[in-house]
Amino acid sequence: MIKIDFEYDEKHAELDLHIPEDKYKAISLIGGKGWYSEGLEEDITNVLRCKAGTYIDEDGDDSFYIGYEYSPGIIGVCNGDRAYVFGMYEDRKEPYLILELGELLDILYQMRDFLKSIGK
Amino acid sequence: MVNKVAKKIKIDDVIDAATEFFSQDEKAFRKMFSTEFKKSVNWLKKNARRVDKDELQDLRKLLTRLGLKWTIKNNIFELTYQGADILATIERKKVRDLLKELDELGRRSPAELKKRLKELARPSKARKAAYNDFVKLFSKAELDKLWKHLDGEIEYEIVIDHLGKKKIGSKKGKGCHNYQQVFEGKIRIKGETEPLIPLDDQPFIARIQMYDSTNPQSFVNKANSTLVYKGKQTRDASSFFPINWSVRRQKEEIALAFKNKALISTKVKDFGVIVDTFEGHSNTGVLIQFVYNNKKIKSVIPVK
Repeated sequence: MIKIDFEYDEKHAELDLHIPEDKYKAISLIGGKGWYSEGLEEDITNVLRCKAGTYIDEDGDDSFYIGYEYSPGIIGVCNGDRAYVFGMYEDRKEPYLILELGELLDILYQMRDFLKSIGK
Repeated sequence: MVNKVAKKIKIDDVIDAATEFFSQDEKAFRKMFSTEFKKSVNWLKKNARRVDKDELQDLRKLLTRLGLKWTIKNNIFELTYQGADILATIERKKVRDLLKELDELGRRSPAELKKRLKELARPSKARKAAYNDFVKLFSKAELDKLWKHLDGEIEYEIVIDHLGKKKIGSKKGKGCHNYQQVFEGKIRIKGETEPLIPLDDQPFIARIQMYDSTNPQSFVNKANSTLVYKGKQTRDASSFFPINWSVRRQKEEIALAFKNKALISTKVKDFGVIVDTFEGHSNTGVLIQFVYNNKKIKSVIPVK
């Protein structure tokens, strides 16, 4: 389980993620506005479908992104493959971090549970 | 023959913009924002009220008499006086009343007309001044990147497979807050907008796809969706600057909001990235947010 310390900034409605382990620090880039447990449920469902190799969206794409504008990071999730933490606005094309889909699910479950626990 | 056709199209555009568009009913607006933009345009042309050519001539004569120039692009009708837009704070449906008022004023007192026109042009002049200051604060490359982001960008990401081999990943659509791109065929709207009938000077939200120039006929979803659309977080949604703002006006309003902006939050991510968010207001009160990463401007988002 990846250790994540959560903090919710009520004033700006932002979820902040602090990651003690160096290897996973890039995950904190996705923190910011827009996170709600309900939206995460949908992301989790889609990641589970990617893990099973059955994800395809209404436009025929077999990958999708998790993340919100304003945050400096976004996660690209590929069907039957892995997940990639990219910069949102940076020109850099390569990912900051590669996650196995199981690791991504672990992160998303923790985020969902935290948000649920504070009524978001 | 070609000229006649061109003239007819222009007249149709004027009819669309100067009459129907100023007094649109809900049904027409729904059509305007439908997914099939071409169909909407055809619908408008078909349903536009026929304007007598004499009436149009009279309008042209009136504008010349008042010293006004008009431009029309993408259904945005602009009237300018000495280079400044005078409709910035006027509801479109009141344009005819305004013209009537100016006409009467001009007949009564040319000096009063001049004074009124200057008053109407003041907000536009303030925006232009703000824009001139704004462009001096950034390099051309920074500004080009920002405007490109507002138009919508499609990027390729590099992914690495289990064998460590790099390959091109999926395409990522980013930004896209400039509704005028619909008219350029660069983006398309999926479904309805929220609100369904955006008012003048009101930002709105829509689910979108961006045209992928590297793959004709192909559109890419916006990746960093982020917005609550119809009460639900929606992946491919984007917030747009008001429909009655031309690209030039968008930039000027952004510059004006930038001038009065205030810092609302600073966050330092574990990864060392500093995210600053500022808020400012446009001439007509639209709330605009400015997102900085590591002290570099990255996005400008119309909020409400």
